[in-house]
Amino acid sequence: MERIFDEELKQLRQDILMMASLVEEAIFKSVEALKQGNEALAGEVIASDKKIDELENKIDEFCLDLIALRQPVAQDLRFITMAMQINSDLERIADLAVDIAQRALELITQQVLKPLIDIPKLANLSQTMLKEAIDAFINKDVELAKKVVLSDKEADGLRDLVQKELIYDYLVKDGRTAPRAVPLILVARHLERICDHATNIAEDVVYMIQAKVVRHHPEKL
Amino acid sequence: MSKIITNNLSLWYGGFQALKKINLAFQEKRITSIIGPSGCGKSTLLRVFNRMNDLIDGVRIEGEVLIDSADILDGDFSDLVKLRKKVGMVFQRPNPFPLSVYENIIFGLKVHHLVEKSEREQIVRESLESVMLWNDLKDKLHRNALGLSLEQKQRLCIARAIAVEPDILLMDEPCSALDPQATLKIEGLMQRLKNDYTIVIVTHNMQQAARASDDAGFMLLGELIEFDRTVEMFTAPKDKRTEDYITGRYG
Repeated sequence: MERIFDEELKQLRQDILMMASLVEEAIFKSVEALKQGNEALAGEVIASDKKIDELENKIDEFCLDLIALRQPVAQDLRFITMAMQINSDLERIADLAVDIAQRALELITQQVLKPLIDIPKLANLSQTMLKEAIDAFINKDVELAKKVVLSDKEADGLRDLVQKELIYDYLVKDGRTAPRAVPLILVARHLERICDHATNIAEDVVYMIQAKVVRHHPEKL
Repeated sequence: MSKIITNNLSLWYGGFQALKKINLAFQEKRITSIIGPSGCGKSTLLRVFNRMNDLIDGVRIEGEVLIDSADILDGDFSDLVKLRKKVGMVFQRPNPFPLSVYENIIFGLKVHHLVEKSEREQIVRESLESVMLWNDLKDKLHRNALGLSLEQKQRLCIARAIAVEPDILLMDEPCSALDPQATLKIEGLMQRLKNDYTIVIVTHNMQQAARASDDAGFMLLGELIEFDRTVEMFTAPKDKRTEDYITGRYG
């Protein structure tokens, strides 16, 4: 039986999808700004954050309205509460994209330290993880969500690799590389945090579908 | 500990099977709600527990209903008066007798020859106190109960049921005639009463089942589809039919 409520849930799904696409675009542009040294792209990312913040508030209010007015239970309740969490994770990812754009701006004025190899790999991974987490949410695909959760270790590994290289091959050997090496270390951390948020989203998707809490309990996957 | 256990309980009204092999255990001093659409058998199930269905022609029952380990459906079990003292019932519409408040409360005590006259006042007071009516009615004990508000009438009916010190309280849609505020007060009262009684409530109101019960059973077409802790049923029901019903997709 079709309910009025179903239309509202569809709307919520659309809103989350819109939020996710804005956030994906922000990450893509921030990474490109870094790779290309493109000031305009970095500026676009920073400017787009306000729109994302506003959409976050709008989605949050919509969820609260649905809880107050429709008194959802079971899968409806899980969907709405997880949409709220996912919304918040997406907004945090957008903030990290802004952080990356700011690091890109810091680096633009300086000579290139080294060709970027692992950072683009980590950037690709973060974008893939986010895309798959959102696909899992939209298509209620629990297997895809689990795959995202399991990818998080790879992200940690890449971040460690980038950090070690920059610290031991550059900073330790020549302290004067710090203004160029430290922003890159931070970028690796920002990207790895994006992977963490994508993992959170995927864990929420598992809860939404299977009512099983896997956050902090990877053994339950 | 289980207070009421049903084993393969089936019930027919003539040729119509209203309950189909129900297996359930109601825990002592907890509130259990039974939910389900009209005609699912939930009120029939409730009425088995004090054998109210005996009054209906053409009823046939199979299986067991154990209350404190005694099978109340067993051929040798004949003490219905005792059973109904042990298992009190509160109905959908408050149904006080057209007597005074006082007489309503002691009615059951008289039937069961339970107390000396001297003790009655004490019991009336305690019963009204336990449903939080004493302060309102202590000066109106000899007024006709039909003059009370609906909520007060329902509280009085609960007081009347517990005056004979039952173990189990059956409640069949006890709030459906009450406004939301009165409903919340009765639900609050149920929470207090569960310290002393095992409560089984049949309700159409799913929010009420969610708010007021510890365990919940969902019935459909005479079958028990799912039984779980209420919080589980309303966050993660296991059966799709339960999910469809509680989310309003059933129909």
